Amino acid sequence: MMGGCQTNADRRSCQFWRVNGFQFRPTNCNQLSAHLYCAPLRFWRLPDLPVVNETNLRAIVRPTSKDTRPVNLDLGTIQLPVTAYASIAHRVTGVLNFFASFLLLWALDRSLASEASFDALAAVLTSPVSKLVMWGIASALTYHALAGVKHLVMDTGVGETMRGGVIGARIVFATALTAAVLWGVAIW
Amino acid sequence: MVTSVTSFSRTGLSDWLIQRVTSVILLAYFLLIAYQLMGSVDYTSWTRLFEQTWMKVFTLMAALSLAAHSWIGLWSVFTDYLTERMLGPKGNVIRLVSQLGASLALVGYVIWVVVIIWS
Repeated sequence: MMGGCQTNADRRSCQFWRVNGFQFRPTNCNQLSAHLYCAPLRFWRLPDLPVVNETNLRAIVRPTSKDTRPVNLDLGTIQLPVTAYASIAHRVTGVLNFFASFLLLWALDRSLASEASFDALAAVLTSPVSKLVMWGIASALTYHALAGVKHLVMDTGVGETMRGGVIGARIVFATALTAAVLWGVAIW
Repeated sequence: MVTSVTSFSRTGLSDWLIQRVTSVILLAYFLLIAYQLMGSVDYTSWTRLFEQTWMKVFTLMAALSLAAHSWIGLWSVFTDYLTERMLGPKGNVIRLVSQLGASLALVGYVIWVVVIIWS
């Protein structure tokens, strides 16, 4: 891969270096705001197999209790791979679905209570705000379901490597994005 | 562990299994509902669907699955982010209150579904 470097020595001249299969950039992408423009670019580069050397050994070997060196866990300064974004989105949509369940149960209640309440619900669901909410719920639910299916596939041992995880996360994001567009077409 | 006492089934292994079984039930249920909504839905056909015993049982199964699945999922989120490390000394209190609120809401969801389906 062009621009990558293996050792600490050429860190200054290289565009990024690799640790544990992830790419790290020297300066530009080390801020929280950078996730917006760095992450999409990174999504389309497949990680190479990790190269173990002095530089990345610390990231590959899990620190033990004897290891007292400070560990940086500030997510704002750590570049995350696409798999991390897929996992975070799975959690966020899961919490959203918990709240959306209230609206869905309310709609189920209204749709079955009487013919009058069914018609009233149908009228409410034609408003622009309701359509936006419906689209949001459908898209979040679809993403969560697709990411869940990815989990079930990975439980069978398929796509458990870093490379497989990246490909799986990409498939989920692409499919969910397509589904969100289709939900939009169906609703409006 | 302070946190495992609020987990759904006390052990991670059975939580893991329950999360997967309930996910399949919920996926099947939502696919059925989506399929129904694809066609033209009117009040008569919609109520006729929910009058059938298998649909009542399936809806109740989905509601129970939703409660278990959400409990496990929210517990994972709460024990990761609503902690003393993330929020300071009040972290544990905030987590337990959130867990209690979520649990009550989920019990309410299940009761609500029972009322909707059998009334």
